[in-house]
Amino acid sequence: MLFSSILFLLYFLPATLAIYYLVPRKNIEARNLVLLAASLLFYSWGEPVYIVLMIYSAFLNYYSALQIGRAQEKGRSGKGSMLFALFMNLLVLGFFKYFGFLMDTFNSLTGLHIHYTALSLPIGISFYTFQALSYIFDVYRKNVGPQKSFLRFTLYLSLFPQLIAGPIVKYRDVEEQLSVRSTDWIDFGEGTKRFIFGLGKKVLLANNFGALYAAIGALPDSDVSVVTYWIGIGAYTLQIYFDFSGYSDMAIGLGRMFGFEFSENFNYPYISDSITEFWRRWHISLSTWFREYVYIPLGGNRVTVPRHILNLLIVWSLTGLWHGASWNFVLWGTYYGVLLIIEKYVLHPYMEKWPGWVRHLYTLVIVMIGWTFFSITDFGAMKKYFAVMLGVSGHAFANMKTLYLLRTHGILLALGMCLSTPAPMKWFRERLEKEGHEWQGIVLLMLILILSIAYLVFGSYNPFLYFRF
Amino acid sequence: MDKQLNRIPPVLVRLALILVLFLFLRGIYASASARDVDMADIRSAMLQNTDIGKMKECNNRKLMQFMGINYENYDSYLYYKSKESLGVDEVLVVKVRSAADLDGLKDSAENRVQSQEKAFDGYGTNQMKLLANAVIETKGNYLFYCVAENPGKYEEVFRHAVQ
Repeated sequence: MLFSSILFLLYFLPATLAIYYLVPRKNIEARNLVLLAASLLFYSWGEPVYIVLMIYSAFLNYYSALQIGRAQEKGRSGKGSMLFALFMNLLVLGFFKYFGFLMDTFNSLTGLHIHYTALSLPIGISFYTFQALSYIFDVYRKNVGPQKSFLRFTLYLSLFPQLIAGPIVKYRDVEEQLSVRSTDWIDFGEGTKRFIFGLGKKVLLANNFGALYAAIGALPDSDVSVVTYWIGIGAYTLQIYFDFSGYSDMAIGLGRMFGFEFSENFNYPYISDSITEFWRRWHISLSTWFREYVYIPLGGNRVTVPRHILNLLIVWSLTGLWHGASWNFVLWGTYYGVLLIIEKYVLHPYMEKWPGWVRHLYTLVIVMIGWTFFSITDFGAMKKYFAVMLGVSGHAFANMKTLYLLRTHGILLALGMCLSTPAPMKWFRERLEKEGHEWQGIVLLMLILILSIAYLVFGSYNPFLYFRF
Repeated sequence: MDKQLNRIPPVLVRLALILVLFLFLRGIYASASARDVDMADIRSAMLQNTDIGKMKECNNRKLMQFMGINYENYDSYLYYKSKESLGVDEVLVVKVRSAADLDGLKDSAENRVQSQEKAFDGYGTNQMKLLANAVIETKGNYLFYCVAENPGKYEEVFRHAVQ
């Protein structure tokens, strides 16, 4: 079930909220039970069989953490239980996500045709596995104690607002909220506002940018030009931002409606002045996960330069691979690893002297090239796309189709660029949340909600890019 | 639960966890797998056991025109479509060379259903009913897509042919 679906918006969410708020505030266990039941129902909607896997994962990690805690009470480290949990979590993730990829790679390297069956990916498996691992590592490092209640732990792992597309919530950030949380009308209102903004970003912006990118990708060769393909990747750049950050906004908003405070996942990444800064602003929960549980344990930057370079390449290849079982994602991750190394060891002293707009342009071009690696899984098609973008394919620089696309989508693209900066939200807070002007803000939110629902009812293009991760 | 679990030796719990996972993965894999069957055999099973013969077999060009699928990218296929211009009945089975191609094919089938629904929305009550019951599934290296009066029958024959 998607947040941006009629089923969720008109039936599932209102019903869950109604039942949740009917339970007295003091009875937190009963409220947890309502949320858990709703989360399991939400998860089982698409592929009911995978609910077994979710409950299995909850029990595996709940039990392993208890074992780590017991070992530590007896003065041991609990390493055996930690390694068992790590192995089993990676085995499950690897089997569903990377088995087909490894078999395809093996078959193409050896020339063999070993027959295998690719399984459908359980929704959100990458997100909830990483949440579970963060819990296991934190218990092992004694950052948190093991959760004694299976209900609370299963709720943490399966909580539907962040289940299928993050943010990757660390257990220590919500530990207290699982047993004590208050929700007042201000929280509920703030959560609703955040959810509606997220819905609008996803439905009104991301879907339209996605349709533009798909239309450009399907153009006959005679209509292709350099500028058209740059418009295409520009549309994808905006689509993936509004798609994923919109979904994160919806998750954060929903969490707030039920009394949970999730960390921010995006902080206007496209205003960055360097790639380093971009990755501090993009998918923050994933970057911090890799930083905390892979990069720092490998030694971080407190090692020799060659080792530091190796650490960065390992972390970024894994980041790429996390996004999908395909070589283009590994290439995309490694691309950023190499760029971050170049920025840190070569460009850094020079970049400080560059004018702000040059730094910004440099970052945007690098990011857009990165999205080309990301969006096209077939290497032949990727090569063709790059050849056109770089003007070495023999296609025209611009043509009538380019002008047509600019005329029909120019305003949408300009709006997307503007809305990917902090200025519109600043304006909203300063002007429409001021005392006496609240009604204007409410009208705007209602407008976004109605337009989004109308779009969902009448439109058919509603993909979700991060769903497959 | 915490205290009850504490009474069971950890080795036993871990073995049980491994066993349960193994059985679950084996079950999932077996139910999703398919034999490597020639498309001619699937066609013959369909012709014998379903009403597919009443439809018209479509060629490579029609496969591209209606489904947006380029036959060159796949191992083999069968595609039958209603003979009537306003009929929405169609059956498609595609065998892929790489399982990674199945997601794209699934998208093509979903897009086909959506575009048909758009075309018949508002006047084709019967067509809309058939489209609402469309079956799209993957099994092993095959995609199966069917819109028909009784799609379950076609699905059963397909499953039996590749099981």
